[in-house]
Amino acid sequence: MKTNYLLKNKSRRSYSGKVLFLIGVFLVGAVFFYFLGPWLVPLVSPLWKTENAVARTLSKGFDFFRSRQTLIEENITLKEKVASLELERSSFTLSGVERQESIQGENIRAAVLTRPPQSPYDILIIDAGYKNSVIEGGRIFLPEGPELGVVSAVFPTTAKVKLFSTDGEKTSAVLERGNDPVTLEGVGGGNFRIIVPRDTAVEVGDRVLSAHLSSSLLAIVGDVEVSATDSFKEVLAKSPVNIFSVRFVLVRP
Amino acid sequence: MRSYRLISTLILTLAVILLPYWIYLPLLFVAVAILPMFWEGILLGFLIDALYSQGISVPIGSPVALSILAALVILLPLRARLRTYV
Repeated sequence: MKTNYLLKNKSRRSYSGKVLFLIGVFLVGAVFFYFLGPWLVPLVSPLWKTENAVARTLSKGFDFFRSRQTLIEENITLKEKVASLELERSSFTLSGVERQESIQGENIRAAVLTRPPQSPYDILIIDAGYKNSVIEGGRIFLPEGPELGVVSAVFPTTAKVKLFSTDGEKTSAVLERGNDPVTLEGVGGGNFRIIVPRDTAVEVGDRVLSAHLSSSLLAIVGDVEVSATDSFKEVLAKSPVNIFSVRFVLVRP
Repeated sequence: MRSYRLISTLILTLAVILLPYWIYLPLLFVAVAILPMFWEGILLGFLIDALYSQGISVPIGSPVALSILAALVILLPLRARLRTYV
């Protein structure tokens, strides 16, 4: 007999069958990647190393074609940056010699293989692992001094670094102006949020330091928002460095 | 169609490894919308979380893989009702 209408049951059965298949793929994938996880980053890291090497070579090649004016402008910008960094460094809570010792002593230097925006989360992957004495929980600093995050996973020759600015990550910190202890909450993309009582003294440009004994720079206040009826104010801070262009870090085990 | 799927999966895998997320995530969802039953997308979602999530292993409730699973399930009845005349 010729039918000219859809068989309802068949359509519903095929839909639920497909949904079950997709759920099955999800479950198999979850188990598969759960066990494959520890091998995946070491497996892919040679590709990232090659990518970084190619990118560096290409950028050097493009430098050749840059105009003289662009180079002069870049030189001026870099000189200004060096001056501001030196100023910033000299005003750290530790004396210059102590700071130099704390930065250089027993630190492991590592190159950054991937950084945001390659990662959708604020995660760095560095080319030093437990073979280089990197341990989980190790603190990550920039060579200039600011602290970026902690080691969250270690592989033989690579490690994952969770930045303090990871969405939802909470870090104990101190507002330098009034030495007020605060909780720095990461909101992603190198940005932070701090909720403080309305009376707390804080202004744009203030520094937020880590709560450790040897405190280091964590963030710089970028904006302060307060509404007339609120008893708290929201402080928006940003990482002192552009996390999208970090190339080298120091790991303190 | 099978070769399209294979090529798309390979391109997306490379994109996940080498390109920024604002390129590979939209590409992944476009592939889910265009290719019928693109279940490989779920595995690519797990790959993203295995590489870039904070732990050693991928979390069981991988957010990217879960989003792709949801997109696939939502698109299933929609796709059955859509007709393309290309």
